[in-house]
Amino acid sequence: MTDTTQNLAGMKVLLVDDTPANIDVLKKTLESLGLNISMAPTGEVALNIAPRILPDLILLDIMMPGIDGFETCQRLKANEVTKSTPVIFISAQVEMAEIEKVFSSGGVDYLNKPFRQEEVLARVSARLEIVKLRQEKDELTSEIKILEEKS
Amino acid sequence: MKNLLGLEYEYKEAVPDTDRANATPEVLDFSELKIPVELHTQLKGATELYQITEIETALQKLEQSSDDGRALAEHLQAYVAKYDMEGILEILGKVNND
Repeated sequence: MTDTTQNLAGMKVLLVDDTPANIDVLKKTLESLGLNISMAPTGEVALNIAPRILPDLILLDIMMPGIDGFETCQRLKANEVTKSTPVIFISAQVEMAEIEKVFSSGGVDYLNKPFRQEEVLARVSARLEIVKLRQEKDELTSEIKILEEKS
Repeated sequence: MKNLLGLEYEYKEAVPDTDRANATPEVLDFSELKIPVELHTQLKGATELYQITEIETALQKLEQSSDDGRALAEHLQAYVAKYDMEGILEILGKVNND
């Protein structure tokens, strides 16, 4: 187990994709980091469960039946509970026109299908490291505040 | 065609289709099964929230809990492989819990 794996183990990732084979590949890849995986087959399900499971990261397919990935992301960002959860889009091929939409709808990155294991691990790890650092910073800030109030 | 192209066909025995959509778990009488209430609660909660890792952890515990637990866990594995959460919830609704 690498340092990164130890660091990220137990962090929660929500995979949103209507194709079970894609969930299979991502799940298998991300489980090597010891991550806690949830899945949603549609944007509607993702919007329902994300505020309850509070994932550290969401991997969101763009093309889905019902509401697509972009709209799902916009709605996640409009929700106070999920607005700061980073979203990485996944797509068969992110075209130039879509790249702008990835970021304007609130995404932080994107992954192209077919997935390359090394790329998935690198991008997801990098994003989760940032989340973890932010959580640690928030905890330290709270502790400092408490200490200041006591003194 | 064989003579025209000078080909030699190789024939293989048909392999049973193990595609996830066609996987049909064997029939069990769920009302006869009893599992611990805490495992039932854990499994139901994880399934309602599509928490795959949590479901798999609960199934491992279920497998080790009793003969009934093992039978149910083996049965539910096919539903987990299909990400069929509604199917799992439907079955859990029929199972007794202590």
